[in-house]
Amino acid sequence: MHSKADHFKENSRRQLGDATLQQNMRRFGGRFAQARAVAMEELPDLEALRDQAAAIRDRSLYQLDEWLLRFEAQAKNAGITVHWAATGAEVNRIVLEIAQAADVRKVVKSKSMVSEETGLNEALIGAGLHVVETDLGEYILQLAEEPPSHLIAPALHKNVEEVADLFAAHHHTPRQTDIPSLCREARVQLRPHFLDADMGITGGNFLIAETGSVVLVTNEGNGRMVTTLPRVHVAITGIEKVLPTLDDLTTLLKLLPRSATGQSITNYVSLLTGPRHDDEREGPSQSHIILVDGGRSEVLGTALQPALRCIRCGACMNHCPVYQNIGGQAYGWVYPGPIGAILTPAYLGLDQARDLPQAATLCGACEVVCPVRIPLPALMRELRQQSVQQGLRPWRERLGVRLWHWLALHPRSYRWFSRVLIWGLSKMANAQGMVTRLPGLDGWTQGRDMPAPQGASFHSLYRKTSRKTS
Amino acid sequence: MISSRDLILQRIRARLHGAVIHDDTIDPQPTSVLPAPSLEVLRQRFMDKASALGSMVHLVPTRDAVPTILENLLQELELPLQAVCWPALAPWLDQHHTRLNLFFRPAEPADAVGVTGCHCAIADTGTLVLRTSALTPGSVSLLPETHVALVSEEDLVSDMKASWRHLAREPWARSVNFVSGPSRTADIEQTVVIGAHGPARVIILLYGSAP
Ligand code: SF4
Repeated sequence: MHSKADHFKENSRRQLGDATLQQNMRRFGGRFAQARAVAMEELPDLEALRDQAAAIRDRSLYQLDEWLLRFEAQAKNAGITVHWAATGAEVNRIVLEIAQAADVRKVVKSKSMVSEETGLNEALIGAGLHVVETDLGEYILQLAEEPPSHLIAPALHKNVEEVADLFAAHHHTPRQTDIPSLCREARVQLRPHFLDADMGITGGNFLIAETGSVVLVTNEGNGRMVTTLPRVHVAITGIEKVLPTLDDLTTLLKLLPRSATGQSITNYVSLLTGPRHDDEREGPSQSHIILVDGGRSEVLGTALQPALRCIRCGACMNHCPVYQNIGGQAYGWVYPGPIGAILTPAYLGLDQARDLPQAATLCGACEVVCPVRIPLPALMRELRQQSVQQGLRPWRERLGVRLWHWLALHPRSYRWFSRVLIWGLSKMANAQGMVTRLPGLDGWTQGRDMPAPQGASFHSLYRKTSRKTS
Repeated sequence: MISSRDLILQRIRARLHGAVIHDDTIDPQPTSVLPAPSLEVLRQRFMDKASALGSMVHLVPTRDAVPTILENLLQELELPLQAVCWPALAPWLDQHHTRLNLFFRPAEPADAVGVTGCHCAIADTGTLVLRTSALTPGSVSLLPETHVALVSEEDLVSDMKASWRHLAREPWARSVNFVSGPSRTADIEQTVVIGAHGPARVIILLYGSAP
């Protein structure tokens, strides 16, 4: 997917000015957050479980090469063809080669964030294939030609009226506006695609090294459809998704659905281990898995490594005040919210997403809820520091900090300057004592007024008092 | 030219070399030494959890009573007295004389009711564990709008961890599915709608071990 992450300010300004989107984001509000809170209460040992989950993910990451090799060996044993792709372009090339060799015409997809990273749909459509997204949210976005705005509810930013318009326009059916009928309509429209597709493409929530299995965690059942009906199955996942054992999976599955939607378990958890057996009459006859690097290996061994523990539950964005205002598309690439503010610069380069690590109040809510204890605020601070060190901040900001630095080292000038500032601001204040516009900082004053400073500065008060007492 | 596989492994090793190995003091495996719950506890927990997730659970006293109960149930729900079944169920269901018209094969698009057994069932989450094979095709629990699962009380286990031990007794299946209730989506305005791509109705007949 083409990244717009370096236009974060324009993106978020547009999103903030979009009345429908703002309304839709208000409706989204705290629904997931509330459901999560209720579901977590069922776990008596939640904090210990989060420690274990983080430890499991760390264990995979610190010996990633070994677990990947173990996975590869087991998967091959089960008859899976294992591919490795260093870049997104390579992923697309491999999928196209598989498709061409197997004479594939139609592809059905269940959700895969990695394929969003690589822009797979455009590549396949460009090569003349018919591609259908089958997760309801992704299907809506495919019709709308928009990128996802949330990890697990990709069409969260659309309301029922917008979906009704899209369906009526694309299905040439009477417009329906109640949600169950729209879901029914999607089921009816998509069923024939499942039945006559040649290839099914999925992501993978986890890879299990001890068995060579790909794990899919879904609710709609489309994941099962695309891995049961088409002749060819291709799973595309990041290299960081590997888990050593099935018991590790057990622990993570206690947290993932609860963190994500507040469910104790999703409707379907599928472990896929290879193509159909000789005596079976269904199931894909070819099964492929593509292990994707795409910038991940570069994050290992750095201060940002904890971000690779992410299990894509979406809790951090569900609790993020910035995300809830600007929506997921403002982040400009595949991963929105706090985790996106880290993964996007980590995978694409900090110079491609300069403002994302700044897009946080550092309130810390994301870290409090993250099931694998990723210290998201600390990682954002790390990226902020790196962007200063690499000279990536805008000149005005750099100049401002320099100026302040100099003033802070020169008390006399500092006092003189603050006196002028206080005088100036009180001149600018209105009758209520509020400053409503600051030249050069109108982005800040657009949404709020600033109280003008009142009375004397701390310095002069302190001087006066100490003179009196001495 | 170096293959992507070697390149990626090389990068990982270069990055991890000299990295501080993490604190190993946390045992990633929670060791539960709780005794296995009694059948009564398991049965009740399974029924509560499965019903909470939208499955309909019926207790059937004996295995022999299952075919008749199935027939009555389909009639009550005004469904056709016709179903696609796991071939594995043929020796059992075929010998009973009911008005049911049963087909033992993978599911086809027109099938309205699919009848399966289950490998084991997890009480803690109300989950059916289904393995695919020639005799237990996955489509039977996926394509029909109504999925009926015949579950023996003997196959109840307490949690997912226990189910791995159960699964390890047989060769690994192509696909193992943990099914917890009818398919659902909440992709439009976070409103939960039952019946997405998979079955819209899951009925569980939990039968006792009496003959
Ligand atoms: S960073 Fe943590 S909270 Fe956010 S999606 Fe990943 S696992 Fe979930």
